[in-house]
Amino acid sequence: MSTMSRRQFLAASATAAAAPLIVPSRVLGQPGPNDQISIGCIGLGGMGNSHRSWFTEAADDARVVALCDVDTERLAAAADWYEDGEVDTYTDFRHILDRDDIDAVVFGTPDHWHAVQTVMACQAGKDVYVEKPTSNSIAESQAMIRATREHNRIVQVGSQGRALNNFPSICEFIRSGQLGRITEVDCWHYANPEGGDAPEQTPPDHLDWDMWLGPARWRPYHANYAHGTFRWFLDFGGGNIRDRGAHVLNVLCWFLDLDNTGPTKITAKGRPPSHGNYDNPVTMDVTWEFAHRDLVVHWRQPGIDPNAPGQERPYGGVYHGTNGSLVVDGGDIGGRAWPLREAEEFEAPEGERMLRVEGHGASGNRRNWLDCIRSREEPIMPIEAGHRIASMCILGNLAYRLGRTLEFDPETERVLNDEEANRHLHEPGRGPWHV
Amino acid sequence: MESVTGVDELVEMLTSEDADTRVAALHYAGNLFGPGAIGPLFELLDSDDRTTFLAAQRALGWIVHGNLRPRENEADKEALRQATAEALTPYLDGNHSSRAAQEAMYLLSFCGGADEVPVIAEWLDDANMAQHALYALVRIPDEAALTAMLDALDGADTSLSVELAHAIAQKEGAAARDRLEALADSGDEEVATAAAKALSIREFRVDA
Repeated sequence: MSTMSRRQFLAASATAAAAPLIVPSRVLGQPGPNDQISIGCIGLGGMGNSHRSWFTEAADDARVVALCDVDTERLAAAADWYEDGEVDTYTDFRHILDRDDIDAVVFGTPDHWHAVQTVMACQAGKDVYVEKPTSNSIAESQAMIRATREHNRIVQVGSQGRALNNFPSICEFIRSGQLGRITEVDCWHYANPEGGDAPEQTPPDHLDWDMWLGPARWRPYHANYAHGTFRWFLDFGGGNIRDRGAHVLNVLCWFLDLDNTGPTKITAKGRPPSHGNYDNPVTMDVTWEFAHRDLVVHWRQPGIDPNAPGQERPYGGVYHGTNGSLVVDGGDIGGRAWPLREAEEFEAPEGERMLRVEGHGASGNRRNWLDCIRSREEPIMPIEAGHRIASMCILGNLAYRLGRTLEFDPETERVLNDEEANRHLHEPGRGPWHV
Repeated sequence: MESVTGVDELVEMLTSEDADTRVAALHYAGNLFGPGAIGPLFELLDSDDRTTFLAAQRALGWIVHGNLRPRENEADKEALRQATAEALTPYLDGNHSSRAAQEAMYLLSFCGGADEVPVIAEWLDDANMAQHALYALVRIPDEAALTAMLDALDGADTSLSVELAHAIAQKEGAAARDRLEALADSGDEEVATAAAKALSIREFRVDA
């Protein structure tokens, strides 16, 4: 992060006084070609702040006009980047959804909030950028899809691997059959942390604990639930398989054209934590079988890190085809293909080429969303794809949690012959926070 | 199922100071133990030792999930589900800690059926426990769970009616929808608003 605040930056800039503040016309109910897109940023932690910063500093055609967080300390810290009166601040996101002058919202909230907030935003006529993973349950992201389509919204999921500049070529390389038919993919990632226990505590005055929990089952506050460590709880974040899996499996589903289907059999095993209230498995080994595609995908946590020369990220996938294998690491803030480096330069014939967006990674994903808000075209990371990727992760965790293999119908999206497993596909909401 | 000695050994392993022993105990719990182990483990939930509490809580989850595993014989499967649920309902009798009652409610959300619904629904009048009861009733697919929530609307105050409206909205079927539509015309503005909102969200559910 820059050491210069937005306020300092503007004060030091000779052009600060000329910063355009164009009120959107919304003649057609959405921003016109010359209007700035008015954005509300909701959830101002790590990724939320990254989004806020980018939409404020890097997007000339967008303007952040409202901020929201259930933690007033975080809210104040984010607001400090702006001139007085430049942004309005809220602790309840519904105030942003109620504003007619806001076109779009960015959700950088914890995973358990994504579905409820996205559905409500679609109902309010806002376009949405929602952080990954898409949802905490299969029923949630099904509702997100229906809300998106019914209200004709542009919803971009924050899995940015398809916007990495070298990844469309890798996708074309694999899809064009350079490796033959892909039969197996081995994904690797390091283990989840263990520990994190603390006695039950009184929430700090600056945190609205009930609102932080939102749809999640009520429980007493612990400092290690919020903020960033929510990742290590099955009810909130779901561990690395859902966090990084939303990147590694995102590009996998794209490379192998799995965006509109799902696995037919899921097996998982792992080592449960021995202490502390983080409840994710520490180690984990998940296998998804796509019987209808004759494909097997593994998630090994930890797996064998190839440690390739030039490898950028300590996680990724090894794609095994009938004609050869390719390692693709990362899929979030970077990633390379090896040993066949030519995969990154590959060009498919016209008509079979993947979309190349302006910008790289998260910047490209955000830029594409803004462009699609204007064009009303499908964004590069649509909610349907996010749903299928999240579903793989959710089913992997569920197979671990239940200690058994799940047979899954990717058409009906129900577990076969397992009544209890199907009870897990919809996580009951709490109070008004449900889908 | 397991012998008393087996349960005692499980408790001993779960309370061991050795991390690997506690992890092994969780695996045993999910694979070897039936409803008979639930009572001894519930006693550990009130332990002041956090590691013991967490180990017991997790072992209970593994046992319940393990007992709900699909089986070839439907009668055996149903008998085990019933026995598991029956082992949990005593902790909703009002004589146990709220922690134990909440945990029982949570586990019943996975294994509870029509027989357990009345025991859970009794907690709807308890302001501190109602949301836990609603969580379980939403998840239990038996028609009795919806009926219990619809019945609870009669005589419920505004606060509970609002909570019930949102919970009912999460149940599939015409009965839930019809009652919400009626509530949306309620003379109580707060309830009517909640019902209308709940209905508008419910339409996005695939099974609505």
